[in-house]
Amino acid sequence: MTDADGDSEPSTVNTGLPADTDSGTHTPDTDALDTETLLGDDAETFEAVLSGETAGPLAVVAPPFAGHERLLDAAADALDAERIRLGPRGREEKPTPVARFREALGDGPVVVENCQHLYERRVGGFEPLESALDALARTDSRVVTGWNRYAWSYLTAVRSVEGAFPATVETGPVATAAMAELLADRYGGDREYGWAEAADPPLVTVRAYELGRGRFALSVPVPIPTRFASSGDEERDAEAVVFERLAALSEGNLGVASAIWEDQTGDVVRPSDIVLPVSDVDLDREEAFCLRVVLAKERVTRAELAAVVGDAHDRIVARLARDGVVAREDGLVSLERSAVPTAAAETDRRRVL
Amino acid sequence: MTGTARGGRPLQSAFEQVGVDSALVGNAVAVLLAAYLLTRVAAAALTALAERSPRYRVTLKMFIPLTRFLVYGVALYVVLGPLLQLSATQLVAVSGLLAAAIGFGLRDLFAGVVGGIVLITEQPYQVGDKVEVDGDYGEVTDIGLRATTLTTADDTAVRVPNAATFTKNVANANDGAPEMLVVVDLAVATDADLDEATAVVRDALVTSKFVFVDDDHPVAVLVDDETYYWTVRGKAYVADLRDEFVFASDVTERSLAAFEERGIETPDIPVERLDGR
Repeated sequence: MTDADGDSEPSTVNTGLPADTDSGTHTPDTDALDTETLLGDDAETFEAVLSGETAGPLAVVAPPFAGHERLLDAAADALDAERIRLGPRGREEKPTPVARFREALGDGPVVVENCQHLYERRVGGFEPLESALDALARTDSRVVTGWNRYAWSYLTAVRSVEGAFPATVETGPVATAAMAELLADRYGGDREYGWAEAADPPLVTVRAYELGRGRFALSVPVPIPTRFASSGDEERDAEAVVFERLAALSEGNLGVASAIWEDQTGDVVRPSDIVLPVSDVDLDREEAFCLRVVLAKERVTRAELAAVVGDAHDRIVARLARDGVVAREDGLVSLERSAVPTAAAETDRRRVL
Repeated sequence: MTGTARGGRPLQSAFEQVGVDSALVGNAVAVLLAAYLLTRVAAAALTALAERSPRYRVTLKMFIPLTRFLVYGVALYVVLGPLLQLSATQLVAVSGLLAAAIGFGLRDLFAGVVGGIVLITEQPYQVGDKVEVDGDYGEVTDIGLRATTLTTADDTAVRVPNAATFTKNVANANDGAPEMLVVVDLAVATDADLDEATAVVRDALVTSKFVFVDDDHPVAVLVDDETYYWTVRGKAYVADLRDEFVFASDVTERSLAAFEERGIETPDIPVERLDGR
């Protein structure tokens, strides 16, 4: 879209969040973050929709903080589209997200981010979503929408939302090498890497061997003479092991990897320093449900949480905040970047949809 | 001489009279004791492991009776193997005693044990399932050698003889799966907006914290025309069958609140005055 000054930058409509956080951009801001890195095989579908070879609307699905805003930026550039960012809002605020959505659809190409804010998980909470999907079905404009993966999976299960989108792409885990490059681009590549040094190595090293898988994994400690206990890692490049560990812990999520990386304040980065700040939380059903709502929305108002979770939401949010899973600010509850893998694993374990 | 020694000698001589080595009897007691302890430990370990994951709870608990039967089967083989090296006279005597015992006093016990073996092999239900047997509905918390224990919604333990599987209908609500279908009925007046009422019930089902929905576990809302009202019947699966009642309560409570908010009338039951006043 060309604005009044004749620039060809896509316009942005902010719908209720502070300017520095509304896009949810926490991923490395670098040209190296291209569509192929984020989408893998789905990049072809993405390009085909943007070029008009494949009919839209297009749904771009991604886990929280995984960098999908870069895809939406690319789509807005390619389509010269109006950019709408939906956010958590008070129910009485005007214009409503869906009103903005419907209004924009009449003006030409449009890119809508954070579509998970089109619904609330309560009786009557799907009306804005249904209204938006109806408007989408009636428009001839080219539309690209961005969705949180957990909200998308919920909505496909209970509302068959995927039927409204002929084309869907989903971001995959970013490869270790690409992740290393992206983090070096953003945070600088002049870090030193090394191994934790043991001043006086013990005679016997206890090594844990994993038996079984997933929740049924059993760690069996086996004492081995230290001279025979080399894992092979020590002979490897520490930098390679650091980024392998980073990619594994973040599950290829750039936002999560960035959060872990930002915690590395020492002069030397060691593989043993790369840990999830929140690795183990034991939640009951109510807490897991509340966390799943936050995971699916990324940012949610307290008023919405009160309507969805009930009277216990204050106590639950306080507990989640103490565990470092969510943050509280100005009537909003937001998901901590580094807590995404833990939140997803725990709510999946509790089988919360 | 101690009392034990004085008591032990007649017992030993009694064993010798029937041709059984007292050491053999001691070994048999030790083996049965070990089998008992092993089954307790195995059941406790499997239960602890199963309770860590709602998804695999029922599957893991299935191994508890299996382990119990296996351990006791091996123990019986170890015990009876040496004991049953009987002479022809002993064999006749033991067979006669066994037949009489089973025929008179132990018939039900024997039927229960055989029923237990059938439960293990055919698996009409497993530990962790929600079943109804002979009018009793609850979660199967134990399958023993003779009887199955059901824990009902009001936390009452009901012992159902395993032999009941031969003669009674057994209804299994989840059939080994961790999720189960729950049906919630809500009545609305015949002049209510039925579309809105069904939309409310559907929303209440799919927004519940307990619900589980995928292609194999769909949500359905049906309407029944009763004499004085309509029944809106919601059907959905709970992720964990233990949440069956709390899920139904949650859906009912939120549906009724939404009915009231939207002015959807619930029926007034007509009262027929029989006394003529």
